[in-house]
Amino acid sequence: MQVYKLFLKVLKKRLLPAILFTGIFILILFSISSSSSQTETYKPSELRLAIFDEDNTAASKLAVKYISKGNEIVKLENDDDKLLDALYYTTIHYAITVNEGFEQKLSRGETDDLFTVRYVHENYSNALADSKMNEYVKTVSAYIKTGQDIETASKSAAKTLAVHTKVSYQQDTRSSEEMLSFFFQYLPYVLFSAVLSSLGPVLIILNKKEVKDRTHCSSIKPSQETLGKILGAVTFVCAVWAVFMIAGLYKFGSAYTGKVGYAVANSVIYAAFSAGLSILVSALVSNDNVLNVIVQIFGLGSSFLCGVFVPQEFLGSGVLTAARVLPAYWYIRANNSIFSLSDTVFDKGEIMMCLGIEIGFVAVIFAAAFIATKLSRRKA
Amino acid sequence: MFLHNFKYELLSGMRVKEVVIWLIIFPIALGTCFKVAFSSVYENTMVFETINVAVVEDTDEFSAQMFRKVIGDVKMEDEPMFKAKYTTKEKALKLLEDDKVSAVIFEGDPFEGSGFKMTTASNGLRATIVQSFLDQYSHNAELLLTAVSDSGSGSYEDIMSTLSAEVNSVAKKQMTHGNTDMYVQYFYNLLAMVALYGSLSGLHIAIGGQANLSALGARRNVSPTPKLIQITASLCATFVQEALCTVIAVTYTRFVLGIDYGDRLGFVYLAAFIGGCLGVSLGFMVGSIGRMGMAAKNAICNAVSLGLCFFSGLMDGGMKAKVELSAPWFNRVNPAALISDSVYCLNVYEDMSRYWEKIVSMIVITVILTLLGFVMTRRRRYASL
Repeated sequence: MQVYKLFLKVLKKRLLPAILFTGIFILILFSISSSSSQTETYKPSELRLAIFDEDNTAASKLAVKYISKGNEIVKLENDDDKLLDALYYTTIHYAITVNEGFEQKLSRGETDDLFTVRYVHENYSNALADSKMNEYVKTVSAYIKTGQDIETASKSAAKTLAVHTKVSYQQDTRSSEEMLSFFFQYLPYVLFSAVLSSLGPVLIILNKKEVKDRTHCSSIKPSQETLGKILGAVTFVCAVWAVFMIAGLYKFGSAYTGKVGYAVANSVIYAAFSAGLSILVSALVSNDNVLNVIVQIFGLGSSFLCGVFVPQEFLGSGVLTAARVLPAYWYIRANNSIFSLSDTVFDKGEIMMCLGIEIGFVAVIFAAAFIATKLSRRKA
Repeated sequence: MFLHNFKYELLSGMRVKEVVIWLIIFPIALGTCFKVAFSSVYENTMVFETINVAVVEDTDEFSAQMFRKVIGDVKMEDEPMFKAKYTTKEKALKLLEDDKVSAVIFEGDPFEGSGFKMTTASNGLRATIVQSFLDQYSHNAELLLTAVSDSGSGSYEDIMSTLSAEVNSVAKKQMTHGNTDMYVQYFYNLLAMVALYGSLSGLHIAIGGQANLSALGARRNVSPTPKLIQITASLCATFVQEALCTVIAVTYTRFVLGIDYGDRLGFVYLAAFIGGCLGVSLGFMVGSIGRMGMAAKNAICNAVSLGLCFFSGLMDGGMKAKVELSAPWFNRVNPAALISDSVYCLNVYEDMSRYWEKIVSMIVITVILTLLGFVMTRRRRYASL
């Protein structure tokens, strides 16, 4: 109990950095989870376009109207430098120009180079936009072949292309849970970094030679000392975890239902792993800055390798195989299954398997922490 | 006196292990992680893979055969676009549930006025491609019906040939000849992070000059050397150290990891170095504020650097663009964004004016932060310690 009390005393003195780190990571978590839900899944209607009509005819105006439909149109000056800036900052995804002679060429049945697009990044969204323009041109041409004039053909094409296949989702709860899913997806990075950055320095102080020598010459047993530290670490981690959960509840409260319980359990296990790693690292490291290196390398590195920042479906099989030795991989795999992310579906068996493996990691890390603490005591 | 202080500051700085660890090992380790993680992202996001779909049969023989032929023939990048499995509704939904297919298509007959329906587990890219294909099929069917029903001048064959012809209505103009791989920006931000973590070295200058915060500060305060000379020498020595660290970071990412920074590498080194000076001055300014101890100031430097790098896109590549939409001024003053933008500008723009704009902004911020640090540390006297 004495070690636990000492832990709380040191923590009180180091509360400002702890609050600062927890605060900055909450800010990161909310910014990233709120914005990700708008970008991770592709929605054709979300393209931001700048459109310039150089033909200015009835047909070109109808083409502009068709392309604009469902997309966000950004008014910009037709200047290469300004457009390059806008494309670079992705203020717009695409700058489309309806070329001069559009109506004449299309009336003659010519379909090549009717539009010019300026872009910086090549991606699927742009490819689908190209395909949309090609389909429009093809449809107008086909209607012209039926004998319609270009204006009527353009109107007919727009009407035909407005019909879409009816799509239903196997799990309709997805949209309401989307933000929450990203909240839990990014949680391992922020939880890990907040816990290690705040808890590590406190444990390092407890491991300082002077403090350790005083503890060792007392009647406290080694196991009591380690237990005191673990209890302190668990108290702190519970507090940080609760802050994140309450913040999440406040922000995405309505979505905290049903299967979210699995995500909460997943985060509890990961928080426990972070606590164990803090004890292990602080037993091996005696400097705050070295600890920071480890936190940033492990935190950011494992997040990129395990699919926290980049969806697992985009990572190579070799990377994913290597990532299996990290608990963040299993956390994300479980999270994907819980919220049906990365083309996966809810699978209770898969989730339980991932949670089980994570518990295994927690057991291993605590065992290693015990051994490291014991060895450092012998060294002292 | 200045040179004497500068020399010993440089020597003692090189012996501070954490500077070496923090600023040299950090980009090497994290850069390697980035390289490994992103090595296959391009292939997995940009290279097309055949999409598995389940088709629930529900129409007459002729329509079904026609649809099967089309869905089997359609290709993307010389690969079949779809691999269809024909089955019953229950089995198809089970395949979707088991993640064996990306979508379930319920056959319709657009020629008879009944459209296709589709069920999917997510609205990801694969589902969007399936939907786009079904839309196109339905549109073509409607067009052919119009051709048959209208008494226009065109024949059915004419329309068929128009619909099956390859159309290239879009002429594309790439706006830059630089490296547009969007994942390279994570390396720009890594350089920004290395530069901003120079703030930890800057913090040591301020703490080492304050008698109430360090023993070194106490000794320095009783020495006859003017504070301005002491601090200027320390700052210059730290700038040199930071230059060394950023040179190692750029060299490692460019020549070992093979990151393409474009053909103006000298300017990348310059941007990274000035960014490093900015980081040092940030730490010097934070270290000069008030009476907070080393631990609290260290935490502030870490948290601020991390926060700035986050808004510059270190964790989420699209973050800078989102900031640009909601608070563009922040991208003009965020040191991390300025550092990563300067390298980006070199890579993307032919014109150097944007690059110099960023460099000048960094220099101005560096000067302001350094001056603030000087103002806060000047004339500080200690009655007792």
